[in-house]
Amino acid sequence: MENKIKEYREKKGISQGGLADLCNVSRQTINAIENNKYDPSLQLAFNLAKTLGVTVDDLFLSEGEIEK
Amino acid sequence: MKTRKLGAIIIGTATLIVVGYSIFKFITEREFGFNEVITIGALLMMFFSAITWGNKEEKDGILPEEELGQMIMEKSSKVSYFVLVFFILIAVAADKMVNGTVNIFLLGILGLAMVILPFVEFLIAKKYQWVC
Repeated sequence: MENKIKEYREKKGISQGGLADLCNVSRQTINAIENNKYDPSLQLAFNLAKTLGVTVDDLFLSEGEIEK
Repeated sequence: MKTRKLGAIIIGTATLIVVGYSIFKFITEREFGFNEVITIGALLMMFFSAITWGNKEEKDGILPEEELGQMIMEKSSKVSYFVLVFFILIAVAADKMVNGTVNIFLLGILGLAMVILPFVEFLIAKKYQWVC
């Protein structure tokens, strides 16, 4: 699943490590999610969205949305 | 130096020393037994654990308790299971070729290893089955 975490994170001026601290995960987890190597759990997806001030729908793109 | 790196260096050095000593002992006394296998196994287990997992305080890697760590453990458990079953199969075949007979305990372990995954899957699946 693709996502816009990097885009929103950079807009907010937060580093990967900073976002990781705010969501209680490691920097490597954020890096893996940003590079589409790992799909986060629903709970982490909500935490990321809340931290970045957007909705889960804005942050993650389903396969149908990518094709459009 | 970070604890993770230091730990890996210490355990890696200890492993090399034990492996070196075991090879020396095998060459000189033709002896390689339970103690050597268990010590080398335990040291390698600690070494790989030290180079894989990070430390929460030092923030130097993936933590085993976070969800990515849990996913890594689940995936590696399943891969390890299949590798282990394959090695047991090889051991049974090698035993048959070298000794002409099959070790009954090894054969029992192979049978158990083959059935244990579907059986555990069955038990776990039961937890999620919806009863009308």
